[in-house]
Amino acid sequence: MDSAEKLRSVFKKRFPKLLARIENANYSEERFIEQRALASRSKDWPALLERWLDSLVLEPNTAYALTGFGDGSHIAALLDVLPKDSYVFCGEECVESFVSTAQERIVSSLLEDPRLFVGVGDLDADFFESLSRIPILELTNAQAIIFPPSIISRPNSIRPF
Amino acid sequence: MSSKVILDGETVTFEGPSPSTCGEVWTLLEDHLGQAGILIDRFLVDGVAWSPDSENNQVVYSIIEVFTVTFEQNVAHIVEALLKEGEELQEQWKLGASKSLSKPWSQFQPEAVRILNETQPLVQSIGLLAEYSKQNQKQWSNEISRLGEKINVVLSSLMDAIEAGDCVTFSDFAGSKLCATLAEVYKLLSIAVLPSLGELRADG
Repeated sequence: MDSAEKLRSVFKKRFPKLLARIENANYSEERFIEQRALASRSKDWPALLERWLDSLVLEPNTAYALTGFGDGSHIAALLDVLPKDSYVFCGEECVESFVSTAQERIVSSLLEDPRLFVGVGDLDADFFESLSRIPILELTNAQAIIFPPSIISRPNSIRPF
Repeated sequence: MSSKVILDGETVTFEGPSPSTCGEVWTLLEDHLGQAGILIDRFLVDGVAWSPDSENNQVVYSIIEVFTVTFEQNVAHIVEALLKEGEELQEQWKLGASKSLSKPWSQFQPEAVRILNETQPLVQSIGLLAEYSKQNQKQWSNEISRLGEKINVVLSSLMDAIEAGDCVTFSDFAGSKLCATLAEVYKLLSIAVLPSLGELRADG
């Protein structure tokens, strides 16, 4: 199974309402390079991710909303330290960018993490559909967090969704 | 009204008539002491701290008490003050390196500018110390000059990042290069600069 098929398979299982969006999006090497270039702008990306995590207070039983999928590395870093009973909803408006990065970096395993939910494309009902599967009754808090480097080229995308 | 000027515990006898205003006393003493490399540390007019400005130079007095420091003692005071604030300044940059990654840049930028401004006294003091150490052939002269140049280069990169709204570069420089340079600066101040001034102070 190649990475595109794997991505479709994960979406079919976890985010079926968004499957058509990723199937209709074209892979763009330019988009992938754009996302990868973000990480290469830092002299030490892992250290930068650590500093970002240092600034966050991550609590149990909390849902976090995060803008921008970027290259996925900050989400992986976040999930590494996120309490097991907390969740992340990541929104990415640019489907092409999401698909290109997801295919190249084979982030399917990241998308299989049961604590991660995604919304891709236009901010409509389907974008937020996966939120309905977060066990809300177990939660005590909800917070928005941002990772500005993942949206540095799209400053207007910092807005509540 | 009889007036008196006491300098480091001893009454001053002026040649000719005593100066009648605080401003005149300050100017006379500053000129005289300056020739011996001595600075006015505290200047009390009738028990209240006073310093000259354009509006109060004509104030008259009963007793002026003046306490002095040598230039070296003054430098030592500056270094002590820098060291006292060192930990806080380093912590601010470390926090800034993190916060710049978790806030929209427009919200974080004023904080970045504030930390940068609060670093200026250190930068200016390093320049003063470099000049002083060169003139007095201190062993740490080359090192303080090198660190002065280094910190200026890093701060310049940080200013560029602030202007460009570039949180990645800002966080990189603030969290790594600047923190490392500040650690070097404070280490030099505490293990080399201050002890060398301390010897001077002990010698009087």
